[in-house]
Amino acid sequence: MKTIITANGSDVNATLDPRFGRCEFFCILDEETGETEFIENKAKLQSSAAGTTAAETVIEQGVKKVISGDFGPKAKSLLDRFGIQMVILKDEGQIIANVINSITGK
Amino acid sequence: MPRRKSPRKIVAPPVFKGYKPFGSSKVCDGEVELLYEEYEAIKLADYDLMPHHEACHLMGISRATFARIYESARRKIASAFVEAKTIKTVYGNVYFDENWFRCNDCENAFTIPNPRIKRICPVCRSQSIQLMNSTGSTNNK
Amino acid sequence: MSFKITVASGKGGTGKTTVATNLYWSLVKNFDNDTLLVDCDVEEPDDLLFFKNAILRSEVKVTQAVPEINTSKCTYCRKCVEYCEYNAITVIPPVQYASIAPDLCHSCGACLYACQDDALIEKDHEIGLMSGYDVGFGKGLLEGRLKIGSAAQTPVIRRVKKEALDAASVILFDAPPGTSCSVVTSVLDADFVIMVTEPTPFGLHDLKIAVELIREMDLPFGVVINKAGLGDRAVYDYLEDEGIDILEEIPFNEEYARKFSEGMILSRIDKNYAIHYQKIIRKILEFKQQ
Repeated sequence: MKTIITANGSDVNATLDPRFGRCEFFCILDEETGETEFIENKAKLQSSAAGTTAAETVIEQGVKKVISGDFGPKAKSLLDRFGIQMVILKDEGQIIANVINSITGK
Repeated sequence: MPRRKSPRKIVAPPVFKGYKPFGSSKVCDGEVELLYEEYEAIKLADYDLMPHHEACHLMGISRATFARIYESARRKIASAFVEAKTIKTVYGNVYFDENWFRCNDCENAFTIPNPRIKRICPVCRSQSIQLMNSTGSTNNK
Repeated sequence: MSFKITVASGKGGTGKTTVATNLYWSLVKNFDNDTLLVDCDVEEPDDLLFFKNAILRSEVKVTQAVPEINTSKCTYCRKCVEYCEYNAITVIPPVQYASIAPDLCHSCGACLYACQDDALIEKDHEIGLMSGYDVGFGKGLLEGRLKIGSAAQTPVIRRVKKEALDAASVILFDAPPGTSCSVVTSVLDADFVIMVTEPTPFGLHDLKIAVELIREMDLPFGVVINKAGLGDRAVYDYLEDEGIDILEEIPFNEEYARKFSEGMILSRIDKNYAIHYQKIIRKILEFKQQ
């Protein structure tokens, strides 16, 4: 199963980006193999509807879970509609590698 | 144009439409309109006893805005009490952020958009999770 | 062709409406009865408050066409998404999802042009109301009023301006404050712009921005200093340095301010006050004849 984690940078040492729509990078994690791939969020500098565009990317990537710091109303309704689980982490300053470890149970 | 008010996030609307004073010696005249966000502010701060800096985060607004809403809510309720006015709850500027769960162990929040998803915390796998919408506990333990 | 005068200001509360309503009165009484007042401040139209005997003459709903996507015809090519400058359209091909957010749509029509599959239908959304009033003198007042919750000021202003086009020989527009799109729309194609300012640091700060805008738009303009006697001399220094005409100074008077707040047109109650407006009109007429 694939999961997206919003990240501040393009490797696992980056921290979790607390914003969903305007995060810097999406970390796509394969929960079975533990492999990661980072893609840039093309919506981050959009003047409006960044959340919707970011949700579009998430849906196109076919992931089932998104981990971030918060979700706006439009992004939430779109992700809900396509059955994608949203997770809001309480501790926003976490390193991506630690987030991966905790969700894969390592 | 003035900046648009950002909508305030609330997890559940009040379960009543209003309150009416009874046994008042004077005829009850007038009403106060308590906005949903004001109800939510009172609930978070005075019922859930949540610190303001956490409550504002939950409602997706700044701390100053939270303080303003909270203050307005308290003044409305006070004026209703003292002047024996009806309290009516009205919609205000909110959106419902329903179906968020909170893990009782790691305190992270998440949704369960699909009934096939296991009802456990996706972060720590705890089975002790709670729906944030309701005031009562729906603890799975 | 009618002569179009727009009253604008950078800062709010400098006296646009005071100047516009008084100028309307003076124009009608002393110069040309065929004058129409148009309130372009669609977020807060308040010219009407000064005409106690106003009678509603006409009322027209202002609508904006927002397209909807017919998903049975849509091929999810995303062409409309590429054309949309305002990110109002969401199309996700793998899951066959397509929708348009009405709150982000500017009704530019680009998506209709982009769609090759005839999948977009325009539907009318109400965004405001345009009302015409008889006020007992002159051609009356035309105002636009934005519907609560709508953010589409410019389409309402455009609709009102279209209605006003050639409706009288002199048309006086009361613009919204600031220097945003709605102000640009209001002052566009004016024959003369009156900028109202006050001699305070805030008045000066916003006046500078407004002057920059009007110069960029290459429109003839002059400045009215309202509440003269308050504040400092910085506005005067600025106007002198820039070589900008002062059309008139209207002195601050607490008694006038009180009467104004009760909804009275001042030049109607005080001859001394009326003179200021006659001077403004004379200066604009001089400009017109040049």
